[in-house]
Amino acid sequence: MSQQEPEEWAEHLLDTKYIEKYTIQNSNTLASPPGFENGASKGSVSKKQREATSQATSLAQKNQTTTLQVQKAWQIAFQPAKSVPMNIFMSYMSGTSLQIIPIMTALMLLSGPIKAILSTRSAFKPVLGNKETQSQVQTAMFMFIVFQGVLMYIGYRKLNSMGLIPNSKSDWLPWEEIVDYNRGLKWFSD
Amino acid sequence: MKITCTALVCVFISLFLSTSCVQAVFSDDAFITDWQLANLGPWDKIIPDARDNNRVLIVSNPTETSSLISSFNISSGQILFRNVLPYTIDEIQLDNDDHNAVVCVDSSSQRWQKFDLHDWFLLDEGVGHAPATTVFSQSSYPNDQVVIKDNELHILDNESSLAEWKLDLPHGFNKVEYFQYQDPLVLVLNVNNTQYLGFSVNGTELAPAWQRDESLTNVVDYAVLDVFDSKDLELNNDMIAERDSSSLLNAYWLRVTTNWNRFTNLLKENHFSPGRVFTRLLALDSKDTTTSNLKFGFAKTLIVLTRNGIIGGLDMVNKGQLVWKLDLQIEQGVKMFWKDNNHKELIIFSRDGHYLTIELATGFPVIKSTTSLLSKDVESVIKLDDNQYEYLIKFDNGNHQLLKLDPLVGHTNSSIFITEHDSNGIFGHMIVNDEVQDTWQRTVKPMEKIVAFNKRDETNLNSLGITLGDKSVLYKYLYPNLAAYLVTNKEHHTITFNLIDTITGEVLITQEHKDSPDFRLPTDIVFGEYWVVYSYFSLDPVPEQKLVVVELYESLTPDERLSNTRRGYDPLTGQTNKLQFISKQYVFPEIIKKLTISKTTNDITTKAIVMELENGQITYIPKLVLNARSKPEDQMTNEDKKEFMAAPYAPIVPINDNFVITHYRNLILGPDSKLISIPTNLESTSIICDLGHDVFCTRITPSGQFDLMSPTFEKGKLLITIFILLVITYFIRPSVSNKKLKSQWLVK
Repeated sequence: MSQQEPEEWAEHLLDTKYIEKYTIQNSNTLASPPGFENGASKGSVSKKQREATSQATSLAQKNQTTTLQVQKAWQIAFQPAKSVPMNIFMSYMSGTSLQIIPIMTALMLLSGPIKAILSTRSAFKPVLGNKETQSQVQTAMFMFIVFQGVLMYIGYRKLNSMGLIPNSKSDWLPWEEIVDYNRGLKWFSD
Repeated sequence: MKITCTALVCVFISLFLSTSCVQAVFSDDAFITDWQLANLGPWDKIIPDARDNNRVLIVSNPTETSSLISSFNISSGQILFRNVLPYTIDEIQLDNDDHNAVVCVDSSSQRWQKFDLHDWFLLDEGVGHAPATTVFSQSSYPNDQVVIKDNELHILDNESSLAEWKLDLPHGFNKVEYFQYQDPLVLVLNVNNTQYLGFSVNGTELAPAWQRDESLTNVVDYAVLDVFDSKDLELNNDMIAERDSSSLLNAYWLRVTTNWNRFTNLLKENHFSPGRVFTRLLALDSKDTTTSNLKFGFAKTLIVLTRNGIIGGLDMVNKGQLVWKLDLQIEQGVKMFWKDNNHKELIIFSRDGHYLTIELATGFPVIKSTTSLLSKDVESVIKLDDNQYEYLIKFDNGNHQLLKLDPLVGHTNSSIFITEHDSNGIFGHMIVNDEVQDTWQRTVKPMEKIVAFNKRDETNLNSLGITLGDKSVLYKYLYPNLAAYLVTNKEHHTITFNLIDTITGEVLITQEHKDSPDFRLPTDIVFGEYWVVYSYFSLDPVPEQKLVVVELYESLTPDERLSNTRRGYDPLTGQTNKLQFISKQYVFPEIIKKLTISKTTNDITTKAIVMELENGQITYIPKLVLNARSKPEDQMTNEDKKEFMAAPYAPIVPINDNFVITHYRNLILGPDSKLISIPTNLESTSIICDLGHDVFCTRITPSGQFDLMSPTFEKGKLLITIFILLVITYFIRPSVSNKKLKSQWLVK
């Protein structure tokens, strides 16, 4: 077999500039598939018509995004609510005895929602910035906070049932002062 | 390298396993920490027991109303048994019909009782003519076999009348108490009236066989002398400095620095050699309890004052061994106090109107001074103030003397109130310008009698209230000037409990029991921080020992505090918040003679009620068992059950055998015994002593030994494990770095 010339690509394998010489055909320049009407390939349609359709489609598109955004916002808002039944069940089942695992879960139930509330805006970032959906997203944000509050309440109830929340008189008993009845008086007995 | 490593690990694991095979640890302290001085009292009569030449019967009369017959092994000096008779006897006779029975006769009242000689069961008793008996020959030594010549005692040979045995008379010789020539030869000498020395033949000479000291019977008062180690004092000072530091942070810093210094000192002392430190730490586990006894405050000298005016120092960790003894030459001891807080001088009051100052600085007592009081017949003495050296002495005729040991100390700004009591009443006094003035008195009716009295215990206050199951608080009534007493009424057959405000004399609580109390049996009362427990024996509906607990609260409504720190209360005008109380009755299976409350250093340990029983045993029950707020189980809510140590109301409190701290000992304590509790350096542990005819001491831990490392804790094993881990890391470290390097070079 006679020696063949090497392929062109093989010759320029290590030449980084070579690829730049190629003109890349943009897919936009390709003809649309049959039945697909786009602004670029509708030579027969009048300009007015074209404008009207484009307006209608952008409106429909906009509406769709709004609904999607609102839907997404509510989805985010309901996310904490989904874990409420499970948390209630878990905290009920783990009892009130003082053990490190239930205490940790209860503390996490308290700290998690606080963190989530503080980062509400970042949680809703994908759906923020749209003026039209703003009020609905804000309602969703409010509900998000409410549901986080519900989670916190479960954690609080759990800690309280374990007696770890100092909310009763006995928790502050050591700080109460004693009455000195015998001021300047001494008593002795046989 | 790999093989040696694995082998080493295997060796260590096998070593660890072999050390962890736990051997059984028997940690019962019975008969190790507790001790009893079984006394006979001064011997009145010695009667040889015809059945055994080694045995004698000894009759002594420890009190004016009772007598004690003891069977005694005269050659070994051991008490075989003791039997208390409720009357004094002056004759023991052998029954003519039954040679195994003896008849004890009190000739003045013609009372007699017949006992079986073997087991001392009562066979018969009566008043009048005793059954036909032979009077036992009482041993004395009129026989001319024992002769005393020039401080020497000679025992003569029967036939030749030559001295067969010779003995130098001991110092303080009083008389020959008992002599028996044959099978075996026994000689008992009485020294200093209360000491008995037994001699027996040892080879060719008479040698002392045993010794008994009968002087420390009938203790009337006591004092406790702590024995310190200088190192512990240092530790103590550190702890005091920590307690007195201004803030929590400072205290913490002080603790960290002192502990660090201690650790570096330990290293320095052992020349920074880990091996030495290790062996020293292991040596701390040794069986030698001397250091721990010193450190934990178990090493104390119990100083007892007897009715006969003798003080004796008993080594509390050494089975109550008599360390020293001093006859004060007084008619009758009444009361003994430490003069100062350093415990260097004792002040003792005698019935014949003297007070003596005893110096104890050298460890042995020396009478420093004897001073007369204003009058004779001292009835009682009250120490007024720790720093003022003031004592109030009451005489039989009702007069008082205020004794000031330090005349330089002027009047105190505070007004001093005194409460005294006798069986007929309770009397309040006040000291104004060094004069004792009467304030109030509560006397009882002719058919009534005060049978028990106790003031409120001075305890360290740790909590203002009781936390209930639902985390609410019941506030304790903490007014300090309170006393409780029991009055029996023979006319109506009742016993009444009274709680009295000792400044105004106002009776705050009266609680009457109409279940026909038996006045012949003992009653007692104790007054803890906010509760009172008293005992009496009732006959209705069935004869039973009753234990009543009364708890005093500011209010019975939870979370309601009626005392106000901002309000100025004046006990003198009675302007204080009044108490509310709740009470419950329990039944105890044995007759209770004396009650006391366990005392600990900081009063954190739950209180126990220590009881001396009529049968000569001592037991204790936790105060929490006697709960005035307990309810029957069906009435208890879930919240009630959550309370600390909550238990449903069970009216019968059983005796738990594990709580009988005397074990199977037979204590004879007499009617005026003193049941006391002495705190130790360990918060968990309290020393309980019963002082009377006998002396008995033991230790109790009402909440368990929570501050003492359990004897099963294996310090050695812990240290070995740490050592093994260190060695393993030492060997594993290079192999780990090796592995890291290899992984970076992609070499397997």
